[in-house]
Amino acid sequence: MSQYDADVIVIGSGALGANAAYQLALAGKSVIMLEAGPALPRWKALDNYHNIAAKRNWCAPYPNVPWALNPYTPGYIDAHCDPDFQYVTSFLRVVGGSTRHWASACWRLLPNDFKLKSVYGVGRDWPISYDDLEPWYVAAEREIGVVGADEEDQSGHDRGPYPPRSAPYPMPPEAKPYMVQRMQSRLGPLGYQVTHEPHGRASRPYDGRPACEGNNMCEPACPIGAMYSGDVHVNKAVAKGVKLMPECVAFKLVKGEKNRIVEVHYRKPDKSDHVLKAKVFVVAAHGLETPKLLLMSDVANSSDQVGRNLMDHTGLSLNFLADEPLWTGRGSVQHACIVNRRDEPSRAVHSAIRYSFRNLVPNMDVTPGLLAKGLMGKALEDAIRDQGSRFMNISTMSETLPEPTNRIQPNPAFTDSIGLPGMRVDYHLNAYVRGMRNLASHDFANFMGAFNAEMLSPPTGWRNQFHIMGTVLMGDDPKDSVVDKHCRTHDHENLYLCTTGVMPSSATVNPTLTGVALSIRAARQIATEV
Amino acid sequence: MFGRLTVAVSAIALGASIAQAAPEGADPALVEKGRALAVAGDCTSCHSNPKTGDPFSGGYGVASPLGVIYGANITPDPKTGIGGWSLSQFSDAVRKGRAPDGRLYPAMPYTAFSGVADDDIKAMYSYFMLGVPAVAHDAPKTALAFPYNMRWLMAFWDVLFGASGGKPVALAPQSGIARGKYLAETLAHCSTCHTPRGLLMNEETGQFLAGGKVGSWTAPNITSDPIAGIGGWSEAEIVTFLKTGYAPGKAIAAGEMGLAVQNSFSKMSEDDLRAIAAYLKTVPPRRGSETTPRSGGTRSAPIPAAELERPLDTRDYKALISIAGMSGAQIYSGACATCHGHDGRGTPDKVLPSLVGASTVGSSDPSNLVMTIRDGVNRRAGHSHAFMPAFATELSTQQLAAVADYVSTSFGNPAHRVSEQDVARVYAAAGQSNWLIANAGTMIWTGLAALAAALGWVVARRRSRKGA
Repeated sequence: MSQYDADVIVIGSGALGANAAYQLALAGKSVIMLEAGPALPRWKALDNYHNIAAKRNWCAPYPNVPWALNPYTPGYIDAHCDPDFQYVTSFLRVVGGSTRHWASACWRLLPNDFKLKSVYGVGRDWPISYDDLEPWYVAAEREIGVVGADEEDQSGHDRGPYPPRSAPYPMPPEAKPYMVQRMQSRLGPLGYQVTHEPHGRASRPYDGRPACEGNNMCEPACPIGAMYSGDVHVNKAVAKGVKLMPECVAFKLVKGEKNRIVEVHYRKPDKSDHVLKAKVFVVAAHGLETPKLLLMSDVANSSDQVGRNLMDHTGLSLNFLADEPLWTGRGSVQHACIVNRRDEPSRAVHSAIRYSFRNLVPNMDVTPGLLAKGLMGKALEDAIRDQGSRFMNISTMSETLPEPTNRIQPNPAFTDSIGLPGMRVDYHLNAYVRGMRNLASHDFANFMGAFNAEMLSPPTGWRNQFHIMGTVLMGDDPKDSVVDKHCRTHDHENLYLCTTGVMPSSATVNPTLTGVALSIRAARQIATEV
Repeated sequence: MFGRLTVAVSAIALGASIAQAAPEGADPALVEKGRALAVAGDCTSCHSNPKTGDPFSGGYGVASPLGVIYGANITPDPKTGIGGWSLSQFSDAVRKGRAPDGRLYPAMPYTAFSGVADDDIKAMYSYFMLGVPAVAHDAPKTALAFPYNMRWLMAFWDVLFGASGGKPVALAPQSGIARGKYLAETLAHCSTCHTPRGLLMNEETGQFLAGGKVGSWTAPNITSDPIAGIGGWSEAEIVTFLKTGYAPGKAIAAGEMGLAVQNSFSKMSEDDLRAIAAYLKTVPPRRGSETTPRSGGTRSAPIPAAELERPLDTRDYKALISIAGMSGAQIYSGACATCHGHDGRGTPDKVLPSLVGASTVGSSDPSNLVMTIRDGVNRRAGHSHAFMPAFATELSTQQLAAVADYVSTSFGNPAHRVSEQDVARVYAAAGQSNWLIANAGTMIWTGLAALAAALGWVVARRRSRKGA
């Protein structure tokens, strides 16, 4: 009998962990995948969504189990922030992970995003370049099934297709919604480049998924499975022999000889503890739970950087009414955005910005204000129709820098049902992020001017976009980084981290595609070693 | 010795036929005619290469009750394909199931192709030799269990059953019902799936097109009977179904029929489809046990509000996880209603099909309903791509049965209940063959042993007589 329970144990069954597990299974390795939360078929998540009252809380349709709590649980995240900003985030602890409730934006970083320090003198450089990661972006785009426009400059500099691609997107863009056409025709003349947003919603049948039919509820769950989510690769991994173990909460990694990780201890909802052994361990438990587990286990932290450098795309959001119907809510929840500010010289001074248009049916945004005005009956109905047709929400995806003081730590003052700690988050907005406000206000004013718009709510409050990065960041120097360029921890040669927490720059784009690319790359590296 | 002789003979045959295989002055019209006929014969469905997507270089595995039978490489590659075949060798393979290197299994529908006209065979030969690029690909060899590995045995079967498509004529009929009959009986090989098979996997000629099984799927009765068959369909509906795979209110093609629509019928000419439709309306009715037509129903019983209005409290995490005891209607609401609607009627533009009236839903036989839910639909026709995801990993057998029961009774016929046992039966049919086929090996061994015993007895008696 083998001294190991598996070649590789992957902790976490989200898009990144499941892709790593799938690649390892393809390479013939035996793999166990632990998941803290329960399994839930898509149709049950839909059934839950139909039957709960909270329609704008994307965590709510998924069971918030007491042994694997979600971040909306009072006390689970003890956040210490600024007077004008409260740290709120959103992730899921279920089989398939947080992509069960994402909107599937699948951006590549730009080449300069990998060398922020060298080019702009701020933040950090990655230990790898865009060119190093490019083939893995291709692999990730194929696994996810990404829809994108090959011919566009996604950096907004009008220099032809950019960033460079060695292979076209797996699928062509969907039809352009009316709203996007209006944005292009009225903002384009001002120089704003409204480009297609690459995403994981199939535009034709792809890998067992149907084409998107525009139900406009990507969040909290695509009702037909057209949109990619981590459970796709959970199923593919299980079909290849990966053993999935839901409702098993990893809480300790144990060091052995030569500083190798020898065991993972996990706890079940009945509070019983169990041990598994493997040759290699992969922690793929999200950008907050991963550093929490490492800190609880006192591993991988010789640099004292575990849990530090927490980043998000903390930014501003504007609601206005245009002078014409835009009809948001047709198609999927995101189609396009403005990319001019992703990579400008001002990045040396303040955050780069990407402007994202929300494409939800806006009845719930406009109705409370109309009710407050005392409208009732037909007048209310007419006003909802009118304002709903002209509503627009634009938010900034603002780059944040890795600051060691922005951090997550286990919080023993809070314990869940199985006695495991909550977390404390310290997160403050520095001058770099706050410094982008003037530029954002200038652009917001231009947007409103172009549409002769009436402002519904001013862009004053700072809010997160729930994109968690930096907490176990990557670097060449073991003294100031947690993992090397293959996502292997500097301290333990058989411990890898597959999470967007390894990203040393946040850029302005949703990090999941980059995370999946890094995970596939790490898995192929692991496969050569076990 | 024997092996060497075979090699020598093959080499001679190869040398001789290569000369024949490249006729000067190929007639483009003949090649094009052959292409259209190869489409009508749906050659690619079994002869494609699943790895490369190449249409004719072979390797597709047909799951037959005898075991997996692999489609051969039928490109004109001389080594791995049929480039070395003469016209008469090609003709014998297609119409008699006799290839130069041995007998074919009737997964190749040569029983139907037996009636392909001489002029069509010539056109198809021209197409495969001159219109198809040669692809060197060694398709996997079919290796069936004893006794079916003895291909020569097929000679006996062929004598009994080898020509259901009739005797070939010189010239194929070009129009009208005669054209439809010719296509349906030969190249389109409808009977291969739609005629029930007997003890020896032979098509039961008296039950022509009265319905058969393809693995777990059912190929329904398509005789002109108004209840058991498609007598209630208009010719236009039959044409629409063959062309697109979807005749609203009548039927949706999935499984093997989806492939037949995708690779063959959707690419045939309107004239040929109309001819087939006209002919099918004349096929003698065969009545089954059904008492109501499986297609064309109008029942649409939407999900009762009481089933849907079940307020859930997000603090009650157990209620958000628990799926035990959920009704078929509730599963339908989560898994199906987004596309097919709470009333089962799909979308008004018919892109997402109506379940109401569809034969799969209205049939008393739940096979195709169960299989469609489990495996989904994946059918291209022209520019459209009908796709329903497979629910194999999303639904347990019990849940699949519950939702199939709900669909069957709400949008089909309240009497057509579907149980978990029904679902298990449908799945099990995939590996099922009749008793004789399954036990042929044992029977032959038993037979040989009996024969040996009998011979021994005779010899022993003779000896004892001589001795006497």
